[in-house]
Amino acid sequence: MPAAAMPFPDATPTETQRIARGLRQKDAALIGELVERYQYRLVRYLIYLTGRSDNVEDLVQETWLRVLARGNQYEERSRFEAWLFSIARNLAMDGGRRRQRERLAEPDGRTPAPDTASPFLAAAKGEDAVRLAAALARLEPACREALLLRFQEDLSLQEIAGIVGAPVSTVSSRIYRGLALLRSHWKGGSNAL
Amino acid sequence: MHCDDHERARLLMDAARVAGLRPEEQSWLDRHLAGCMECEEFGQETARVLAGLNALSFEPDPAMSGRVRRAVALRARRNPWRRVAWAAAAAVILAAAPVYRNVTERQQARQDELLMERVGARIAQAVPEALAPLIGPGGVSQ
Repeated sequence: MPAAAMPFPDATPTETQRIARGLRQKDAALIGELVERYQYRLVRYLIYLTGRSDNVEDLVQETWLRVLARGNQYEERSRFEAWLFSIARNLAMDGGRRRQRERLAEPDGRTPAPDTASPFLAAAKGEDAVRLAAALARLEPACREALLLRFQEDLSLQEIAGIVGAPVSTVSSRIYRGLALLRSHWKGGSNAL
Repeated sequence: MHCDDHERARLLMDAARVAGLRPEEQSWLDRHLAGCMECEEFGQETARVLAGLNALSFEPDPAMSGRVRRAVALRARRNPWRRVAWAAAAAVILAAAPVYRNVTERQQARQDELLMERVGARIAQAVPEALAPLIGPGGVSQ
């Protein structure tokens, strides 16, 4: 697992207080530090959520600009990454709805060519990883997102529920469904080889 | 073992990863796995799948963070007080517009009243003067 992907140990109260104070003061240097620290995880989250990588940089930039604008809304009793991911999620959802409206507004009903380069396949090294990446690309975005937040970001079910705006029971069922589908695709792939 | 035991074991193995198990559930699962290779293999398969997820690497463009930091720094340098001052000025103008209009209308109405009074006074003076030749000095129309 890339080092940049490791979630930090639970931030001490001192650290979250420092972040909260800096955000309230719109401290650009602090935000710059956070940009570097969370770069990989934010990119990965947005790819898992959207299934594409071509617009990730725009979403990353918009996310941090919103962090700068709304820093006084961060509550230091929660983990910073949970707040960061919820901001990124809202922006990604808004972007998806806007693109859908634009497609519907096409006068001749043309739809733009889909992004055929799977970012999951691009991220895979090795045969097993390629098989898993193909399975991951086929999952519903909500299941993919839930798996990432639980098993790779190590967030609690309650934290995930807060990010995605769904009950804990819904989050749980997405995780179980995602695990079952990944196992099924994984086994199906190995049987095919 | 019953088929249901295997299904229960698999559910518990997933539940252990998702939310954790109660001690009695963990004990039951440990006993089951000690004697069931099939379910043990199921657990190992899940572990491989999750390990595979962690092996995926989504390295972004190394220059991306620099571009993002510059965009944030640029936005942060905008003087927030200038925006506040513009917003305050706009609010004052918007709030003052109806007041100004009301004052102007009232002033105009008052001027109209004064004009009508003057006109009325002039008429009251002019009519008797115009009729005076017709009435004559005795006050009776000839």
